[in-house]
Amino acid sequence: MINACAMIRSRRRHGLIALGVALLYISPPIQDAAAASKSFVVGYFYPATYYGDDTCPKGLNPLPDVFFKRDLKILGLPQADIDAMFDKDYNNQNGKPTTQWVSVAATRGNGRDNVYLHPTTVPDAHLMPAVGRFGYGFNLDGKGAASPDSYEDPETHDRGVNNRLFRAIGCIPAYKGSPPPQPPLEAEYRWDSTRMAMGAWLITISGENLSRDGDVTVTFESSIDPATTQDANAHIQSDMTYRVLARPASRNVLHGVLRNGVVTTDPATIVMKCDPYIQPTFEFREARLRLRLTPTGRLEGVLGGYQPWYPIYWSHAKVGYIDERGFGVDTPALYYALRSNADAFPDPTSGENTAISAAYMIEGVPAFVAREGDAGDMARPASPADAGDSAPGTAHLCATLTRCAALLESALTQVLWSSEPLSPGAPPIARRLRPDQYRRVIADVFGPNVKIEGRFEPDVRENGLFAVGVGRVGVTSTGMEQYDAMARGVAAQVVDEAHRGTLIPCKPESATAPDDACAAQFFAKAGPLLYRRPLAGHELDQAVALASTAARTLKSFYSGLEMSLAGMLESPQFLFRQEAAEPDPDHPGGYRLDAYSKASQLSFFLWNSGPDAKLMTAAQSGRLDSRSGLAAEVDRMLQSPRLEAGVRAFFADMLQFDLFDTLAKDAQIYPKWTAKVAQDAEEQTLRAIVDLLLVQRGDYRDIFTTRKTFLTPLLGSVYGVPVAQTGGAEQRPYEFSDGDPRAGLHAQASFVALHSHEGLSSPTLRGKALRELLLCEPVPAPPGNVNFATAQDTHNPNFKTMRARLTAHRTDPTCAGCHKLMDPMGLALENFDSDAGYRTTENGEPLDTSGELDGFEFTDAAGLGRALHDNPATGPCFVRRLYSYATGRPPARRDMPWIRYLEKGFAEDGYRAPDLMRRIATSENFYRVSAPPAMLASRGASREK
Amino acid sequence: MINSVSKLSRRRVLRGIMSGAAVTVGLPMLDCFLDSKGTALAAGGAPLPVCFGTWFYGCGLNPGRWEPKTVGPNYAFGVELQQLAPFRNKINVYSQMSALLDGRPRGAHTVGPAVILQGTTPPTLDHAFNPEPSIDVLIADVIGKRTRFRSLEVSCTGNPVSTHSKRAGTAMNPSEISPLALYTRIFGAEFKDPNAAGFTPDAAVMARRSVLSAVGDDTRRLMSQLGAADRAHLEQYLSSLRELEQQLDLQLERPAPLAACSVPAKPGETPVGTEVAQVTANHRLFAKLLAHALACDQTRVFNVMLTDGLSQLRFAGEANTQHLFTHEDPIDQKLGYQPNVIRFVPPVLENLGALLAELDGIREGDRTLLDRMLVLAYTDSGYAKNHTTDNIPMLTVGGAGGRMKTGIHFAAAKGDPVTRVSLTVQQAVGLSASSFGTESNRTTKTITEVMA
Repeated sequence: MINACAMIRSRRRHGLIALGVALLYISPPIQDAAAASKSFVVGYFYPATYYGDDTCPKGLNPLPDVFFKRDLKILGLPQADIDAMFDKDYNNQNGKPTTQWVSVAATRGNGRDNVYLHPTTVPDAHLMPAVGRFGYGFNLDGKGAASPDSYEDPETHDRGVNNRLFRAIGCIPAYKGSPPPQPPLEAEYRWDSTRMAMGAWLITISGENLSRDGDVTVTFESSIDPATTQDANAHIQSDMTYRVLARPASRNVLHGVLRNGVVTTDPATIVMKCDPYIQPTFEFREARLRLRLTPTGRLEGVLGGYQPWYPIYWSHAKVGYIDERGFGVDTPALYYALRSNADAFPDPTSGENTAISAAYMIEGVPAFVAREGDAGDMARPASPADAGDSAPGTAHLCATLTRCAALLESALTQVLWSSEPLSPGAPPIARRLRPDQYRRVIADVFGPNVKIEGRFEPDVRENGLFAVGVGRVGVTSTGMEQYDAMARGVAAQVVDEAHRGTLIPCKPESATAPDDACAAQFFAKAGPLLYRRPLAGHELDQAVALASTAARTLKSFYSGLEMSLAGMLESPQFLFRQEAAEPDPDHPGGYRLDAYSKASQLSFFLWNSGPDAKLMTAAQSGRLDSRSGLAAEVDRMLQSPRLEAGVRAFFADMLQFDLFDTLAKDAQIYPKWTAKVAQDAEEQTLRAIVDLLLVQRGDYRDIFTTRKTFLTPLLGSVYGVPVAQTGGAEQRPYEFSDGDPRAGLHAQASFVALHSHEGLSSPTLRGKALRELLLCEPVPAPPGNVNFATAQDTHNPNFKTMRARLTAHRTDPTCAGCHKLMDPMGLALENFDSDAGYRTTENGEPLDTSGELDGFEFTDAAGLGRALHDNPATGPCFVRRLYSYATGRPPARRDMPWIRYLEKGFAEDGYRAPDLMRRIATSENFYRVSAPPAMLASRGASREK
Repeated sequence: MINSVSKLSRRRVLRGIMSGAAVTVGLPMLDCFLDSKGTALAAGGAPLPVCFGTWFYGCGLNPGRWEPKTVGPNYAFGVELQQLAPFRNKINVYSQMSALLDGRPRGAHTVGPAVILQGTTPPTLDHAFNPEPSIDVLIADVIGKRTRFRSLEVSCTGNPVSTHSKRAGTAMNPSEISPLALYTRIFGAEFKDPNAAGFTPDAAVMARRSVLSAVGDDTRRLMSQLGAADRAHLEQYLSSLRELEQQLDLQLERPAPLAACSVPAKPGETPVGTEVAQVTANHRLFAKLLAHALACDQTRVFNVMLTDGLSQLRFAGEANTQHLFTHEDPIDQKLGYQPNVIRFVPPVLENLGALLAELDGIREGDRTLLDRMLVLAYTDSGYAKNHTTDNIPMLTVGGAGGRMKTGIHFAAAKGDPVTRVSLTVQQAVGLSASSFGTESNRTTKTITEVMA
């Protein structure tokens, strides 16, 4: 237990040191000079114990090994017996005492009564008090320096500080303070373990102008949400949102004065509900708060007041032996110390003081407070339609029969009478399955419970897309090793006892011998799904023969099946999407994909997975070869919920979300950035895109201007906007207000954080990504032998803002050419730090976020969004990306007429992405193949339809 | 259509073996064993096999600060190489070697490695499409055929795509990023301890072997129906499949005992990242695993990427990376160098020292593993600040089993291509290559000064 605590402690200390020394002022609010309100969530609240050379002149109070032995003598046990018992039952237990020992320790007063309920059965051991000059707190009794046993506050240097609690416990090792203030061990462990069991404590400071001296109101209250989210350094995540009920468990509204950056409240009673077990309530009378903001925006403060002493004792005593052994607090001695130091509120009957003067340290981080029913501050659903948590439906793509008929008609019209230019097509290609496609095919065939363990060979991005690169790759030996491991893993699960009943359609006659009939049944079912075409007769025979041989060797039908299935999963027929061509009857002399290749082409394009049974049937029946049959299948697929997976896969490829795999941020500079934030950021963008393009059927270009998005509470923390925790789905609809620069995808974490350095934002990387990914304009790489020295004034190296640094860099004409393509866009995003946190200054210098894109000038990220929305390259770039994604090839000269036709159609359709997908999927061009006839002949012969 | 089943001859052979189930298969011994005195020797008294490794770090060293002042033996290290002092007698330093551009665009931080390993300046900035194989692959094709792993690649910064090991342009051998995953690959369930008593071929391995053989036959049939580009990709698939089959063949053989072989401790899950401490911690674990993998003859070739060419190495809490510093850190006029850049040199070279210590720490008779291997330590640029590819610092460590002299500084004539080192390295580990590289980077000149 002690070890675990020590670990927690050292981790925290490390972080605290990094924060630097707290200064006594409220720094100018970072975002808004006239902010009228600031809220914080309390991370730690613990007795303020100072420790200096003169605090414990006689040393610290003894630890359990000493005080247990001392007390056992009271029972009259001989020292030898005590030592023997101690060594046997206490020391040699690896921290786990025997029941015998616990009962002896717990009745050590008189051998009968529980010492924690009856502490006076043990005589007062007279804990050594904390003396010395300094102690935190306030002069509560108003007697100033004359106040007996009082201290001088080490920060304010006020005299007469009443803090008898410190006097009582300040020399107990677990409570010993250490300068600069640290949570003592016990307090730290307690808060780290109880924070999740209680509503968070919130402190809100409000006033007319928090950057000037004046009156303020301090609200100290409970949230219904626990403060549990940790940042990358295991501290409480800042800027999270906490809900407060109209009538919270505790709320104290205090009047205070802000002077020289420090808030001090008037004396009042403060009551805070804590965790239900250890200390249900903290109550302070004549209490006051002293609060200050650190330069890093955190809250530090001291609460002083008179606290009933018995609950303090009981918070230890109720944990009993565990507290004594774990933290070394001598509980009966604590009882006497608290009771004798109590200095206020005498009991009218006995005259004994019931309360003890105390001071507690407060540590907090910025937070948002969402008041119940206070919808104004809160996220509002983007529209009634998506207020629910159901997956975004695409049903109303074709919601009515009339609409369906109209679509069908338009599709037919388009094909029969349009002026769609012919594409000559391209040779067939073998495209390696992408990792997500591999996973989806396996899940489609064997169910989602079959796990895929292994690391996929990295894909190669070509022309901006993996979807193109997959046609350029083979399999390396390391990749093969991994495919082998994955194939064996999948095959082993398919035949294991948990799955064989559902995945293998028959039972073998004997489990220890081959059964060719059963194996044939299995492969006849699984084979076509894996190869995405019917198996040729000899292929089925071979799969069965391999299973049979292996079954004989291994004396197990299922192991035989497993071996043969693994072979199928390692075969290039499965790992690659092989295209097969056939003569095109509509264009004599030309070629097209055969029906099954067509089905794969379609389903990987629209669903990012293999064809389903209906599509296979359509291929088999020849329906896919007729225009109307194709159009009907395309419409069915566009209405399927699987379309969402296809759209997500396309955007993840186009926006290079694979970079998330290696994205990291410096934990000291960007503590809020965690792996979970990265996941949420990726999901935010994909969810918002699906919502805009499929659910709302919106204009594609609006992805640069929309204020509607989806946020998790954690993302709210990163962006610095309130997103309350609720019971529903994690991603909540959220709309940024008018005038907020955070409109559009390019202002989201999935863009600004992805295209940044680990400890620094990067206008250049961001501008380059906008140009290349979203406008399809390649930016040349930097020339060789650049002399960066011209960009540096060695006498004044510290340009404060990135704009200043880049401007200097651009003085070199060899750099200027390319940087002017990137920087003016990237600099408009400088409000977003490397972790996507919002900022208006860099190194204290206000940010200038103005810029221009191809003649369109703007002043911030939202303006850049409008410029991207209206840029003539935006729509065509999307068309080219989708074309390349679908066909697996870069835009080729021979395809340009078709691409231009698609661009025109996209504009006519109001930039609706599903309509463009339909145009591509229903076009003959999508399936046209240019291939040498010799190849076709052998290919045709290999098929046994 | 040809009847496929009639063509599965190899598979039939194995099937014949397997139908006899638990028969003991007569298997050839590996080409090395220990003599009665425990000296590492192969059959006939030949030394243990030569091994090869590459070790890459990004952004180079600083000109004028690393080059020895004298050439030939008994040189003294420049200040930046001091971390390697304990191994000076086993290190050759090559200075003044250049990667020549041939008028092609210079991929900053990528062209140097491309020329050193592939002998060619990439045709486009996209180095992924450089068609030539890298020398580690050429070397593994010769010396790595008899081991479970043709080669092992690791990246210490968490990026699996960080690799220079290429069969051809897009066929990269991806790097392992997790020491635990590497441990499991090498020393997991499929590891056959060469010193273990008793050996029975695993029936499941035999079954797998025969399935893979059928997959290969299918693939060859399929290839006849494909266009040239796809055929090339399947060729590559096939050669990878063959390597997998060879791995299985080895598992069916009794491994030769190796006195120096021991299984290292299993590493835990470690965080990956580009911060110096994280990179160093992971590199240390990788170095140990690789040294033991060589000692146990699980592989004879490895490739280590300490950082990328565009090195993202950084110190905790600092915004700038090593790469950014090389461009943004001003030269201190008094010192004459970029003070923030040189801070990265000691941690980088300490890592190389740690790898060498692992290799040199494995004693095989009166020599060490390092003595029978050759490590090529290379980087991307001569002066990262300006992306220059002149005077790229290159080191070789180890005696390649006696084929290489060590402890020598070789200074090339200005304009000599780095490929001279690449060619020398290939010959030292036993390849019969007589030239390497293309256009200006083509060379036939071995560095005879270091050849034994």
